[in-house]
Amino acid sequence: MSESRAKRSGAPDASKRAPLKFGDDPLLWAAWLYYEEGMTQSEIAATMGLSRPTVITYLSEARERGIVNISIAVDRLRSLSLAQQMVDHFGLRDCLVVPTEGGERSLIDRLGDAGARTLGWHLRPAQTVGIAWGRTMLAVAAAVPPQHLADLRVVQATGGTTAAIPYTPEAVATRLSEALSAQVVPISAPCIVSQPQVRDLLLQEPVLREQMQSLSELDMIVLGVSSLRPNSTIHTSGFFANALEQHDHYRDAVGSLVGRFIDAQGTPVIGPLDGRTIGLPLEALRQVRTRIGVSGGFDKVPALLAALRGGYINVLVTDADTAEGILRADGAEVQRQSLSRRPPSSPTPEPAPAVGTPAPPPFVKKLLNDPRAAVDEAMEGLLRAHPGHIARIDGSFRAIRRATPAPEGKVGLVIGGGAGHEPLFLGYVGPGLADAVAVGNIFAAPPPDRILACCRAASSGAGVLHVFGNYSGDVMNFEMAGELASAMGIEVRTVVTTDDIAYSPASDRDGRRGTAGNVFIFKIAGAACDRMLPLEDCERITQKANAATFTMSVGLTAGSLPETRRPSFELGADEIEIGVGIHGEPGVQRALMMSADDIADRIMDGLFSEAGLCPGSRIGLLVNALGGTPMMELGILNRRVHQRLAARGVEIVRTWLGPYCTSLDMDGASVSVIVLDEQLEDLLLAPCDGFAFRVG
Amino acid sequence: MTQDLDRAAMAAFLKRAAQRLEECRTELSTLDGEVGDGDHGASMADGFSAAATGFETEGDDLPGALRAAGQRFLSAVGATVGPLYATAFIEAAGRSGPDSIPAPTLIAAFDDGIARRGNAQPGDCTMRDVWLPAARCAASGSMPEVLEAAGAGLEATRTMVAAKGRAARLGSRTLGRIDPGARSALVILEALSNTLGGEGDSA
Repeated sequence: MSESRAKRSGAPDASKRAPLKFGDDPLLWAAWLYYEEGMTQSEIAATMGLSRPTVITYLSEARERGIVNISIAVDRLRSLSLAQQMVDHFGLRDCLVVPTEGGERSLIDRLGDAGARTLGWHLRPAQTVGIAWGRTMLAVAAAVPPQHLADLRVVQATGGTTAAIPYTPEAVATRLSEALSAQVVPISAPCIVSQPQVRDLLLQEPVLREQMQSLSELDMIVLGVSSLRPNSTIHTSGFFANALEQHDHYRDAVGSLVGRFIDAQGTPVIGPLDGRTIGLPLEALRQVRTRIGVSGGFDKVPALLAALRGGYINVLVTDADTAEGILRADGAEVQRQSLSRRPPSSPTPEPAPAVGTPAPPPFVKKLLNDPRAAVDEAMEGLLRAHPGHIARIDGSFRAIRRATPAPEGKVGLVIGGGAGHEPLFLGYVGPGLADAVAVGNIFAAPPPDRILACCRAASSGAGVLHVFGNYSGDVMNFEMAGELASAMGIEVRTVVTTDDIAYSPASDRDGRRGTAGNVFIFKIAGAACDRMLPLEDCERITQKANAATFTMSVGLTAGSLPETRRPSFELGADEIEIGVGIHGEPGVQRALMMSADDIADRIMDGLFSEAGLCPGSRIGLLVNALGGTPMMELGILNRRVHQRLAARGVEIVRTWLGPYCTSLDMDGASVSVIVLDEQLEDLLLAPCDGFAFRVG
Repeated sequence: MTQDLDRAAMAAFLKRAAQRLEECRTELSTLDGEVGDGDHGASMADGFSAAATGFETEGDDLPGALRAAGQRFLSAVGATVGPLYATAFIEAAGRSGPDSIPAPTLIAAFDDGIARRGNAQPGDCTMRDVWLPAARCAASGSMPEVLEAAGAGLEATRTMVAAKGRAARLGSRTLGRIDPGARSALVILEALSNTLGGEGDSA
């Protein structure tokens, strides 16, 4: 290294102070201290023997020259600071936090790697190491590089389990002992036996006594923590068979470690299994000097928190999201690594620490009289604006039908949901669209009796189709209304819309929410009904339209409800939310503000992969404002959306652009595509006339 | 806990619950806005107010009045809580005697009704994480113990990742926050406790 430094003569004087491993590059050195070590600019100045302005210049230049990759640096820094907070908050000896998202390897593999490294740091010759069972434990054992510390012993922490799983206590202990060239001490008995008497008898056996003696001599143990949630592997592993469901004793248990149970405070939960379990008791676990817990995934938060509270772990290996979740769940102020803390422009001098609590955000100005009358007053105004399209049912402002009568024998189409999304839903009522719409409170489903009133108004003997977004409230209320309608002899079929791709992976399509893509689905359903097709066909075609519709959105500011008139969540001045829904709620991911083209690219990348768009695909396109975004910005967004679609060779049959499905005053936009076949295209372009949507 | 609620006590309980939920309206909507759609305060306050009115003005006997309370709640707000609490009231009506219902039976009926309609499991970060421990405790415990169990259930929702409703899309971001539905459930149980303990006993 010193040779390479000598080769370059133009390096500044300060480089002499930099350690050899950074070569002769003071920019890299300064950047490392700032981003990786989390030092302040002043500390770096002191370490490197420079003035602070010079450090600032170096950091700025490091970024311009591409030495610093912001995203990776921030993520690692977050892991470091989270680990330190975990150590401080729970009084741990050590904590290692790996990034939650990390390339192609699974979280369990990466946790296994980190666990193996941690084990290596703490291991000394002649020690006795216990290891529990489970997938993560096997990953730890598999990741330990062969090493040759003298006189190590590995002891199985519990008795054995069914061999139906590959990560049995025996398998894990054997694997670890091989990697460590250690002696292995098995526990030659089942972990859980059928009766306490069997356990007591077994424990008198000399072989098992000797093994249990080794288990009481542990210097170190590596263990996982199991969640007891219904989908947890603990229920499918066969470890406890059906014992957990059978015993009400364990209802307070939130987690399991070494085959024992603890409640939310970490107190052992004693039940009938206790006297039948062969393995390390919890009290003995707490006496082990080094207790390395390796566990991650945020379903584990309650269990891990309990294990930490109970002191069963003093070295923790987990992932960043889980660590942050544990801290927040325990009421700790998490020093959130704000995305904007290191702006992409040049580093600025650090601001003085804030004094006092921040003032609440100001009230948002709105055109309101009584916030609680907002929905009725809004509906009244919209009804007055569009008398040719919509009319009240039985004098209600919230059960609304088309103003012109539908042909006899046509399947009725009823749509509906909470208010706050205008012109959704009542703008899509009319010939070729819906026959009636049930309106709820703001962002709240309408009640069954109102939906029933709409259903009866829409029914003319051919049955009624209910179409609405997939939200638990809407599902329950429409379901109850459907039952009431059936009892009155009206045949009802239901299609639940699920177009929001950000919500969950494609494998969980049925769990997704309905958002702006609703517009296309309502249009297709309305056209199918208008063609006088029978109810089954209308239902099937609407299902097909839903399956062909995909939406992704981005929020720039939080929406605010008329009653609170404050933003419903905090969003930094230069932060945006990717994947917001249509209820002013936060999205699935926060990102730094980016250009309109970058946002469009992000959305289109998502839509391309989900919708399977390829050259020759024909689509309907909806570029929708979430409430606050002006047409001008939609135009800017749409420009790039069209560029991307053209580059892919996708044929846009028609573009709709404007506020079609809003979230009160939220700033932001969504892009929806419906992938058309001949039938869907024909129905999409069929004439219709709602006050917010007209074709022909 | 062996206290029974007759029609007058039930009316007093519902009135008090409606009043407390009205006081918590903004708090609940703010909690809900952080994780969901922000309608919870309004839905609960308006729903219980309608339920209290329905209970007082309709029904020939206690079960009839409870059914009316549920029906009114549902018609007033819909939303997610409408079907859940309407089913809770109807479940309670089914288990009520003509003139009175034991408090533990009422609490258990609420939990069972909500469970039946919403299909939420304990640990899903919902109102059931308060109703279920309360119902279990009520079977043998005193009202202060029920409140303690319910309070612990509410606190535990901080450690849970929501599995139901709009909050479910947030994943780990719900950690550290209490569930609004669990919070309003505790408000209702406190109102019940205060009613059973008499007017002055609100400590």
